[in-house]
Amino acid sequence: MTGSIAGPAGVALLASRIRADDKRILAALERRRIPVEHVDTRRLTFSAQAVGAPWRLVLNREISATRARYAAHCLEHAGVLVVNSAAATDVCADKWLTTLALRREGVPTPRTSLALTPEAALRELDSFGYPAVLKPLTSSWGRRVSLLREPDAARAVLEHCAALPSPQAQLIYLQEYVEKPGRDIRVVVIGGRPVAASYRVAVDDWRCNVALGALSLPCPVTPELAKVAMAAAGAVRSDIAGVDVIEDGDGELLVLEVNHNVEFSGMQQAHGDRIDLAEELADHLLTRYGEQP
Amino acid sequence: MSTACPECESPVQPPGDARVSELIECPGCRSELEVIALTPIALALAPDPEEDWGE
Repeated sequence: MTGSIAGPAGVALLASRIRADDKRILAALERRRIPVEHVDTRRLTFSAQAVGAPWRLVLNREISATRARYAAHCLEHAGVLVVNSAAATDVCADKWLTTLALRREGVPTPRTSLALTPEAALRELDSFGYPAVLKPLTSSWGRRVSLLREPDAARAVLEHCAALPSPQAQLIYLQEYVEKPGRDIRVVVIGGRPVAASYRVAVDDWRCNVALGALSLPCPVTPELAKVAMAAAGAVRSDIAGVDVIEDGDGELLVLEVNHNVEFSGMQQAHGDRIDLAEELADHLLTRYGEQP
Repeated sequence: MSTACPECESPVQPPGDARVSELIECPGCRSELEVIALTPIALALAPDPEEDWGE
């Protein structure tokens, strides 16, 4: 393994860009006097023959899902404890694999289908029904998530999908559109515990992503919300999870997806000093760190 | 310590606790800049987001 390895630090925070959340996590770990360093994922290479790495634990905060997945596998191969695990990252980085994992564990989700070509998706929509939501399998922040209200719109969006060069873009993830009260809910689960939740209130958009301008407001972690969030994080085996939940018209909670690389600036601002998510995360990492030989 | 924006040459003052790979915005041209070194401070244009970036 080569890269910006500065010394025998105990913990590495793996990231190609340092966001405000990452700075808070690094500072929280440093306050605990754990030897910690930031490692730039873009500078790493791995040898399949090498065993051992200079860290006992790696917190994988890489923003590229592809790099995050492969780095996690390489590091685990070298014997490093990676949070989140490579398996969890693989699942969370793919919306369809996430849906399958949730359904396997009985976690409620909106009705969802996968079509293996755009043409098959258009036929599937005849029975699936409109409106429907089309999501890329790997994107985030609400990008290219499309609301298909009728067949003409579906045909246009699917033609664009067919023109995209990536083979994965030809796989069409369709999800039932759930009428929601203008918001969804993000729950941060750390070590199996729902630490905090926030409403994400849509602004000038039907999507509720903070990256698209949605407002974060504090949300109480009710027993029902805690139950579904814990079940979702458990289903994907994610140590640290951002679980996105939607309330349907009957008040039932449905899980949309689980994020493995949780951004929590909006939630932190919403909660102010009532909770410190970086501190919660550092406490959990300290526990996992202590479990390592 | 301030340095010049690599895009518009406006003075940019990174925060005192800046870290390598942190992103900051140029107050002059609003470009997203990446801190690539701390001593001395050096900035580069941040890479454009890629398709698989996110949470």
